[in-house]
Amino acid sequence: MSAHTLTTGENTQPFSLADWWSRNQRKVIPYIFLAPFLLSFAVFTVYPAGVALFLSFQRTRGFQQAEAGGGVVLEYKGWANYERLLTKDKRFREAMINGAEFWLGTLLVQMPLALAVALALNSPNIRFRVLGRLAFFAPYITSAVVVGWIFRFVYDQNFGWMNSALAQLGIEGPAWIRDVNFVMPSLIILGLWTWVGFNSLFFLAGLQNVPDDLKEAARIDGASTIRVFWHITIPFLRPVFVFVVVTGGIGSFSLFSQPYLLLDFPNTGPFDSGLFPLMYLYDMGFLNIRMGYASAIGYILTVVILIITGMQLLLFRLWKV
Amino acid sequence: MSEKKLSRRDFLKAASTALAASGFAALPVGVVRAQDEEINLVLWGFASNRVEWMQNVVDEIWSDMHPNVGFTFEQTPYWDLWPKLTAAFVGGAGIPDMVDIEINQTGQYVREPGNEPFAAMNDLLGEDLDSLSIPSATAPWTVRGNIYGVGNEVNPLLMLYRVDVMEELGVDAEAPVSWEDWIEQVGGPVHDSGTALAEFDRGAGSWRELNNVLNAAGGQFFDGDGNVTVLDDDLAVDILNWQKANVDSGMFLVSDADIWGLMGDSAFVSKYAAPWLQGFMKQNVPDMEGQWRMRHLPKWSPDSPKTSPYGGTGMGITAASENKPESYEFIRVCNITAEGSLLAFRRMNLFPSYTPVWDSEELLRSDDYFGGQIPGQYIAEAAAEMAVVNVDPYWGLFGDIVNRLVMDPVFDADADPRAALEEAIEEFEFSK
Amino acid sequence: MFKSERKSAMGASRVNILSMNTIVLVGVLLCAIPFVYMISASFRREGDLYKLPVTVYPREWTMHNFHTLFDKTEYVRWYGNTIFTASIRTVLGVYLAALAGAAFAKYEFRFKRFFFFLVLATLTLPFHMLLIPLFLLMRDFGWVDNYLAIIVPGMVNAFNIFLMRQYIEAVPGELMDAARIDGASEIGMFHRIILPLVRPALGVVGILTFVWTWNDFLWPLVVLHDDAKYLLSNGIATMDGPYEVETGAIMAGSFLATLPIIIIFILMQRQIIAGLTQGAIRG
Repeated sequence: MSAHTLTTGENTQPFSLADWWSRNQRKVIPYIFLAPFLLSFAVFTVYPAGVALFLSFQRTRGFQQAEAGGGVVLEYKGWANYERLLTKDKRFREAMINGAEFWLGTLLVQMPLALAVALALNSPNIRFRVLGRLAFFAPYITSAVVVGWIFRFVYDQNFGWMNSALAQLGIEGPAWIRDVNFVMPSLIILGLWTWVGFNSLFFLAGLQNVPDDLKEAARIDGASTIRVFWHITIPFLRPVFVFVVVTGGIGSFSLFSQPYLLLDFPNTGPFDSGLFPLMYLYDMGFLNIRMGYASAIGYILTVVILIITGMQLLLFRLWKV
Repeated sequence: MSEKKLSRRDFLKAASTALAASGFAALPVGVVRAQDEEINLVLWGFASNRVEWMQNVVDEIWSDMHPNVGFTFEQTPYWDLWPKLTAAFVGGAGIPDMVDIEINQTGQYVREPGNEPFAAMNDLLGEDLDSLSIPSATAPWTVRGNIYGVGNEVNPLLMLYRVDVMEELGVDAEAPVSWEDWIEQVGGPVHDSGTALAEFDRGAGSWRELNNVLNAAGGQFFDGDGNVTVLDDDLAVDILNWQKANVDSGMFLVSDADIWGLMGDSAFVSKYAAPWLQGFMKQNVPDMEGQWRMRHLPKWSPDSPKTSPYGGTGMGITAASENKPESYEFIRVCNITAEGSLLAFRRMNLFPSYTPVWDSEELLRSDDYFGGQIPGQYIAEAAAEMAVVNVDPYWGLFGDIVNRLVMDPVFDADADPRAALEEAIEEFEFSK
Repeated sequence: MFKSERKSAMGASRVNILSMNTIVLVGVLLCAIPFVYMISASFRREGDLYKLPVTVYPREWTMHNFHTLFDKTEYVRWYGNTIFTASIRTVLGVYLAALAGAAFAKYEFRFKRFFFFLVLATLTLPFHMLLIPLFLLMRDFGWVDNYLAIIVPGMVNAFNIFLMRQYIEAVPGELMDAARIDGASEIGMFHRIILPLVRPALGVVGILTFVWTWNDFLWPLVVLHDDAKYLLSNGIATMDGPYEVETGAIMAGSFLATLPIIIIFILMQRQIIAGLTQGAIRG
């Protein structure tokens, strides 16, 4: 490193950049480390989010002619987009309710199953451990296009795997993604397939962190298997629960590719039973060319996700055993 | 700019001179910029067979006429093309010269008068319009009198039926004239034998079941001036009640994406279809050759039109294109010349909307798949008495609403058709 | 008496072992079936795809779909494009996420909590809402139809920073203090101490970034116009037309597209599992 020497007016003591650096680098370096993130955050998140915020108060009125350099014609509408969404728009309400239903499905079905799979994988007598891990990770890395296509097969009323299997048992299967009562269960099952394995890997790691001697001690004191699980294993899994539940909440409300492909968008299932907020945003913004309305949907959704995430974190804070 | 603006007369004059020079006896040549200027035209499409056809037109016809004008064809999946196009329009960046635009995806772009991203082609078309079958060629892309696209296929609905099944049951499927007779005389025996007469689409395109029968009965979703007219008479309600009764009785079999499986299994024995379906039948159920016949569509009432058009894709020019005359010239060569339109027929089995070729021998070939019938004859006959369907900029939005608020409640939850349609119109006015 | 009780408490009874193994086996099968069917569908003719009963093996094996893929489309080119962009994005993305993660995990500075809140906030903004503004930005940068638009905007990923922070926190501070006494620079420590110690996390972030780039669909669709520049996911989707669907070829294309990810996963299995889970434990 070259030693640049600078002299300032009154102070005759030479200032050495190298000295300064060696004394202060520990204070400066975190900002340097963070610089790429902050720059990218400002340019590729804050700026577009600002444009979207601006758009959310406008209505799109067609396109500028080419001589004007393209672009959309906008008309200022104040809070009209937000007001319409929050008070009148039934489709938006339906989409948010569907998001909430999927989230409940994630909490009540996906998490317990993921934990069960993790407990099974953690048992010392288990076979095909490596195969299991690969298989459980496979759905996560399979492209959504393939998943959507295959699950349309699975749920087809006449030729589907589900109904073929049910027919073997003498049961006449439902119309699945064409039956208003089965669209959400179909999506939740698809969600199980995609994420149970992935989430169980997180639980598995948590389980491997539970100290064996603690469990052993409890058992010697006469605690039953269930009590040990409830009072020792579960509390140790708390951080995993935080992580999985929070990301699961964000993921449920921002579900897009799976219902989009499974229901063959712009089809959204009977009575919008498979419409999710981001699908509605996409429909409004890109198929109906209402950028402003779409942006308002995005902002309301962001606020809802933030509130839910905050609530979850708060609940976990209260749960200190 | 002024050099490019040539009148129709100049066009024709140039055409006739070039005609003599090029040796294309029947092919008038339109005007493009001088030969020494290299131009590349970009076209976005979504259907591989159409893009391949255009590539053939370039290779076999165009490159001799205008060697200085080259092409880039970009193909994007149907549901992905529109967001991509929207982004390009919004950004004013990377906009292609031409877009292969499907009829249901035209409206949303041209809702605001004066701010349309597509160029009206009325002036460019000029007298070329006279040689086109309007209901199929331009009507589906005409909004407020502006023509935003030109299509190359005449697509009247025809009735297809299983002749082998009819013979076995001793039914004369050619006799019934009305839908009522069709259900009674053909549907009755078929239904008694334990099979469905037809399939009924309850998938993403379900609203077209209503729209197609309605248009063929002389009804309209819109009046062409921005008003919904679907409830102005009882037609739509009657049709829905009729369809519902037939679905409930098992006369119509509910289908979704599985139509080829059902067809192959003989789960239904008739289907009303536009000519483009015939190609898919040959592709998806080739073993059924000889089992199907075609006839004209049964009529809803004696004064109904003979049929209505169904589907179609046309080529449009973007407002941002700097090569509009050249783009139009390409659209013309593809769609409004014997060479281009016959090439489309050969490649895709699409009956041309360019009327001067309608009596060509090639179009009137018999088809073994349909037991030696001549599809071209049926199509030309039907086209002569085909309804003109009024389009509306909010057409796609309304179709989507009809799917959600009419088809789903009526067919899955026994809702009253009239009430459902009223609700759909209310939602439509709210959503606009 | 005591002994047998203890044994069953350990969960080692026959019934237990059997049921545990059954759960895992059923799970493995359920997870694997769609994947296996994709592979099998690659070797089927179109008609065989929709026939009942469903069979594991094609009724008649065919290479037709692979011929379609290689003769009729630019598959090889799309593959190359995808490997090229995914590799660059992965390498840069991992490095930059590690830098930011190290700042959060190992240094004290003003606004640290606020900056970390920014990282988390990025996760909740829906990408679809930012799509058009981002596209406008790309237009202004002149990046439409340029791979920079694929590589740069998503390069520093919040999820990855979060994961890297969790992991780097485990690096002992004493090691770094000792190095400081020996006169090591902070940047030198990052390269010589932190990075080698968090190799498993680098593996995880690497494979996740790679998978994301590999499966990313919407953004490349909007910013890449020239089909010679398409990435795999967009290229494969062009075979799904309204008039013609090459389902078998789509399956074959997707199967080949998944191969590198599977291979990387098998090779790095241990690192990935270890790294993936570490982040959550400290969450």
